[in-house]
Amino acid sequence: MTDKAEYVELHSASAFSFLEGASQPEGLIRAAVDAQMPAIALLDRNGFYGSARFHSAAKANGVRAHIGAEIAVSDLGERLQPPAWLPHQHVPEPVRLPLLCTSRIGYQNLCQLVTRFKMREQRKCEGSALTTDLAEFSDGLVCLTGGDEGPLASALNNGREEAGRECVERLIEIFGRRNVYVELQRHGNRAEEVRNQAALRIAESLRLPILATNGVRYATQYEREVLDVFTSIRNHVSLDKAGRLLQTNSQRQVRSARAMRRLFGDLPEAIENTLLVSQRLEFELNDLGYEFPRFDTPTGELMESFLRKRVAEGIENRYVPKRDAALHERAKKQAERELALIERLGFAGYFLIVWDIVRFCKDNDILIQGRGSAANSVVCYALEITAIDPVGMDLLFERFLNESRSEWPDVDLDLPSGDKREQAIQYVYQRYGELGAAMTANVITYRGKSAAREVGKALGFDDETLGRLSGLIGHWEWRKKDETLGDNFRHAGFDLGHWRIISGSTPAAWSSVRAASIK
Amino acid sequence: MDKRGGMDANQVGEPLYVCVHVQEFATQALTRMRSELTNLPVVVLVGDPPLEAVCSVNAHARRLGIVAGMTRAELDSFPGVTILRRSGTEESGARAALLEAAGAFTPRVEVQECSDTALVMVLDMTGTTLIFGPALHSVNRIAHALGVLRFVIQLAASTNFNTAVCIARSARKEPVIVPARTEAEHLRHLPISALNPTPEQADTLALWGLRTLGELAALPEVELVVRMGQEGKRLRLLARGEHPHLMVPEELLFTLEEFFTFDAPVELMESLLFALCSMLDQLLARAQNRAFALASVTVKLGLDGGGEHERTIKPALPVMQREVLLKLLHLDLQAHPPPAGVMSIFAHAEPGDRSKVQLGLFAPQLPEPMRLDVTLARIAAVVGEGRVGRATLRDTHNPDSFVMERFVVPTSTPGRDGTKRRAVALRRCRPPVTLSVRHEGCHFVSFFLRGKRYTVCEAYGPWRGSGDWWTPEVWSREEWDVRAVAQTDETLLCVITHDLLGHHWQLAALYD
Repeated sequence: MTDKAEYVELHSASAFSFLEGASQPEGLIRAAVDAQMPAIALLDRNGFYGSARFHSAAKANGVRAHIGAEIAVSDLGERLQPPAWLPHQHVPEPVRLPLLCTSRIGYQNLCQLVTRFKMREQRKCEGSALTTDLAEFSDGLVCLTGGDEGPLASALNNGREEAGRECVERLIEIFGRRNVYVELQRHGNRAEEVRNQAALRIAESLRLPILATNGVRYATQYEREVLDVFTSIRNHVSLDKAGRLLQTNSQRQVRSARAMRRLFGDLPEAIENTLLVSQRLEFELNDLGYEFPRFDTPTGELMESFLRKRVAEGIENRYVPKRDAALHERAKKQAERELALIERLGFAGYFLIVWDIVRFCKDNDILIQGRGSAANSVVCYALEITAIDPVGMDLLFERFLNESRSEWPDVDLDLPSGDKREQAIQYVYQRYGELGAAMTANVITYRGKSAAREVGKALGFDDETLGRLSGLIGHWEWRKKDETLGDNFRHAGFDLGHWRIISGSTPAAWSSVRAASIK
Repeated sequence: MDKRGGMDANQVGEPLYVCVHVQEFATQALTRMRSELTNLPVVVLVGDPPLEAVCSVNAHARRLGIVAGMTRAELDSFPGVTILRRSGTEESGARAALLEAAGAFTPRVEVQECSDTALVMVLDMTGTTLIFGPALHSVNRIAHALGVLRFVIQLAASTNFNTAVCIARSARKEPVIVPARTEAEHLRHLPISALNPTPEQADTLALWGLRTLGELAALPEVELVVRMGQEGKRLRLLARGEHPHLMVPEELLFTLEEFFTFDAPVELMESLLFALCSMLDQLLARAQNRAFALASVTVKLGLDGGGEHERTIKPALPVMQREVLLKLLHLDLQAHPPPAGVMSIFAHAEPGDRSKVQLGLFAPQLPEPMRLDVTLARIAAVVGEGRVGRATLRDTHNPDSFVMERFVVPTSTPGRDGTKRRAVALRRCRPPVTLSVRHEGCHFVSFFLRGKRYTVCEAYGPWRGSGDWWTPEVWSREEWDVRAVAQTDETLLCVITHDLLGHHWQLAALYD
């Protein structure tokens, strides 16, 4: 029996929709907890960048975390823009389709969809999917028609109700009638309500369920200012010049069930459907069903036996020359313990993959060396992944791999820079395929100074003030317990009476500095 | 001297240098704008009192016996003399005007440094016979162009740069044309001083008994070099009209600026306009040299006691008529008079394209700039600055935010919107009407308007908007689309706004 006061927000975006969401995933969860929401969905732009932290925070707070993404689709139309007769600076971009994962299959499909269209791009850009991609990877996904960024809003604006109906029919064709929901959002905008009324007529004519969401871009109303600052940064304009790029109002926060029921008092089923959809979304991020990749042994035998043989050979090669029978015996026993654990945890393939890479490098005169806690493993020593004798040095294997910690092994291999390193990378790609291997890269993030500079630019500070502001960020210390941000500004020589300093020193503005410094 | 020598077709490739010698430049720079001083003796003083001295005089003053170096006290013995102070700004403006006019003939113009008070400008007219004709025609056209700027000049043309400079100094009213290979003949009677020798050189040559360039030119080269070094060789070549010169052309900046100072603070509009009239003539003449009109004119009035009063007029289309510009300035200064007497005027103009809009072969050219701009200026004088033009919406969520832009003549007819849309007319209340609203709980149920109480039957909304949170103009409001009925059964369909920061309710619009 569902509690009538309940509502689930099924369309929110975090700051991992870079510069399009103002709140960290933890902030959204906190807001959901404050609103007594049993579950909340995160749909970041073209990826799952915030989902890991979202899931962890949700678990810690007893909230169910639904996972999905807003996918840009280039052949479903262009995103809604202000009319041409109004001055604005919006640039054309594809519509975004909100997709929610109902199952692991859905998550896998959505991952593959994102991978497909990102890898299709020839140059560095966001990328966008095609409807053919959606059709190929539609299984296990629930599709919403979106808010003003969605295809229905675009179709209704450009071609009226008939075009909107065709758009929804196309989505039904791709995802199936059971998996398409007509999304309604109410942010106090007349044009939006006109589209809502058309969407209602379309939903009724096509016998589709309606779903109320708030198109959340920030956790609290206060953070609308953060989103405006992000919008300015994203469009390389100051707030003074951003015009209609900014938010119209502060209505895209996480709303409570009571507030949403009041807003959709004429459409109670739109609220109730959020609970039904939430129940359908069974997938959670701790249920990825991940398996380590398998290693194709050259002899065709099982990975575990192949590994044992290689380790046994390695123990002989390493310890016989040491002419210490006791050490040799200890090493064999240690190897046996480690191999038993490796087999129990199912990590044999991982060790063989690493061994294979090391072997390739050694055969091709590429310097390679394992480091870190892997040096504590005699299996790694035997496989020539590391160069330190852990048995002779009395190193602790459990630092590397421990059953009770439920962690996966992590072996770091150091390679020289330049062509040799590239050779090793290409070998991995060739061996495991373009889609079987990937570079994980560090994303450049804003730190305090650069975030302060960008926020200051958005607020329209001159270069000198920007320099003072960013120069001070790294040096502030909180000297006394009741010291405020205003104190720091005053000590730095800023006039607290100046309106922009007031705006710039609000918690919202400084949370924008922190939010911009996504780690 | 052959004054009528020209270049024939065989001499097309010969170099041709035309030297413009502006005597007493400091005086001419001041008097060219003051036509009332043309026939009066004028002297220009430089230096700080009581050490002021004459630096330049016009011909009338020279005839009276006034020379450079005289003190102010000595001038007192010459009655009827107009005394002016030297003005670097006016000289710069005059120099720019000369260069500008010269630039219309050739881009290669060099200004020579002179030890006396003259300004010497040499134009390289090589290869221009096909454009301007023989040398005499070129020279006459140059003389005419500079005459329009009210300069009294001496002109000489030669195939040798330095010959033209030497001869121009002594030329009279008619320009002197020196045919090729006759330079020495033309120079021979000129005094040694025409070459600007150093005092030591002049002493040496005087000791040798040399008085004219012809005598210097006749000296043997080797023996002269032995006694005077390479400088002697140079002087000999100059005297023979054979010294080469590497021309270093001025970089001509096209600026339209004029400057004028008054002797005493001027408060009468007529006096200001009189001065502006001649300044506008100069600006227009210079713009016309480059086939431009004036798109805007900025005048900075230097005020008595310090300070500046700056006004800019910008006609809808670039204008060539002085009367239009003067009228616009008149109207503008009338509406925005200077707060104190005016001591100086600095006028700066921006050039603009002279093309006009024409809508059809048999239709008159529209708009007629004079009437359009004067009409706009007259309207602005009545309704105020910034209230005439075209209302343009601003890029902001704040409703009703617009800015007045300058009226421009549309160059194309606006396209028709093919889609037929049903539109509801909305009559905006400007300014909005403040309402007294009655609430029940969180709903407003009635309001009072123009003596009637209206009961709210239906209210759609709230439609929310807020913005400018980073400025003092932060705003936040809700709008309601309301159907209300009065006690007299009169129905009102309207838009009511609630200012959330100011806490007032207003009737913003009526649905028609």
